[in-house]
Amino acid sequence: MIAWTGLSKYFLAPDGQAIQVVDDITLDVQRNEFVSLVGPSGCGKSTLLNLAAGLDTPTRGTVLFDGAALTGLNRAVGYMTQKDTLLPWKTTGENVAVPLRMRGVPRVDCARMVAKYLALMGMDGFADYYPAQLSGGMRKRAAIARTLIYQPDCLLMDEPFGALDVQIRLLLQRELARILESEGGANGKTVVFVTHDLREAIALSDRVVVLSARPARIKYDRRIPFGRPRDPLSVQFLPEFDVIYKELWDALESEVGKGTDA
Amino acid sequence: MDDSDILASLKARRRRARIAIHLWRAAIVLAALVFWQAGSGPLFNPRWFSNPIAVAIVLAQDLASPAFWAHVATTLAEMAAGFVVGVPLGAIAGLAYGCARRLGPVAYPLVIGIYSIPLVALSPLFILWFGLGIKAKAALVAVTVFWLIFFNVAAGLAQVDRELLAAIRQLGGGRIDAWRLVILPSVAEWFFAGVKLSVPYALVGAVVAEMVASSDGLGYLATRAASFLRMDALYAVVIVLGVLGVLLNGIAERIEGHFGRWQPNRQVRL
Repeated sequence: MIAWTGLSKYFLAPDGQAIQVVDDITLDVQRNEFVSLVGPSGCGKSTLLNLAAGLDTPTRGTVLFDGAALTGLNRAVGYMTQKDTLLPWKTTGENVAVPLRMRGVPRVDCARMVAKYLALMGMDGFADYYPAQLSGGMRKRAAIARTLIYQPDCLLMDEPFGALDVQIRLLLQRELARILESEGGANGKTVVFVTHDLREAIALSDRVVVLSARPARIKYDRRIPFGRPRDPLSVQFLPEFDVIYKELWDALESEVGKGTDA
Repeated sequence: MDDSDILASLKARRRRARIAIHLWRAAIVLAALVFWQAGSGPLFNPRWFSNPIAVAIVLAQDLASPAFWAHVATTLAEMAAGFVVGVPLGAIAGLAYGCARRLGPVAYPLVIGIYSIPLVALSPLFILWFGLGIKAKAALVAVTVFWLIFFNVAAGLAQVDRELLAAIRQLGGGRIDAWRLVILPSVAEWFFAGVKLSVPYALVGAVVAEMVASSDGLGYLATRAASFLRMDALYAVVIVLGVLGVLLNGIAERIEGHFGRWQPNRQVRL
């Protein structure tokens, strides 16, 4: 569904040097696959998502989406950036309705959909709150609702639960898994998930890809054998989980703190 | 203590805090007046400093006279006319300047150069252009307000959150959606801050213009009082100007508050 092929990306640093953030990555995410990218901070994970969303262009190589090379913005994906991008001057309900309103969906249908998706995220009764009145966890839920409501087949999620405390995080991981499994239905959902939490990656994914320190290369690519539907919390108590964790950690360990701004 | 008691005590505490603010305010004003009254004579020359009682008498006479209110109305009308012209022009110019990526850097030194001209220096020019009536004063107010709105709106445009713009594009929005959902609401915040800032400057602009050449308005009253060495009348005008400033600022704050309901510091967090 998404394929980064022979992809390299350079940025111009303020001092005039070219910095390579991605080095010749070839990675193919299958339809309905949940793939996590893990790697040290600043290694270029977010860059890969930006490229897949068409917000940035590769220096070398191409990004294929559904078999066609991306040119310009990719609106077929739902992209959740690290910082939630709710509009502060709109209420939660209005924010969630934004993608539908922009697609010309009539107000009545919008209201029905918004109610449905807020309920799905456990946010009944919060439609009239402004983002500034919500907790961090609630804002994430609203952002997820806003992405899911227009039903993109493919989700790009950049550390969606990064800044949350552990309890809320586990809860939202569980809800995300539940929603993707129920929402996905016959057509399923493809997810590329960036995190630096290895446990989160293993618990949620069908496949975990470990990236090296900058410039990002593929260090390790591991299939996660837990089936679906699955509960991301309880799989963490399976003996196999620790084996996989150890394996991935060994791959990651040597990269952490390697000449990055970590 | 049950819930209603706690609520009552919290409310009582807030009420006490509010009363304390009023009491302090009154105490400071009173102390200043007492100092003025007592010091007028022994400490400073009453000929130049008058005294609160004399000022109060003139003020009472002023407030009872329709002619005085006509002067107040003139000054307010000049401000209002200046606002009606200056605010939209400033907003449009600010938006245009902020949007013109190539023109912006070219125009910047010119803009600063024109902006740096002291407005008082323009006042005689406006009188030549627009005559001695309300138009020249309104023009000076309009220019004052124009720049404040212009710089605020241009700065607001530069501060628009790029990530929000990218998000709206990603979610399927076009150019119009970007303006409607992101750019205008975030510039609005700066715009209203500019409007609020403009109020006292507009009052100053109107009064200064009246002082240069005029036959009515509060600035004219102040100049006339000064030329007759009527310090009590001058202070009465100054006090009225101060009160007007507070009242107009209150109105501006109301308007700004209405459009800023979403802002975090105006709300109770959950």
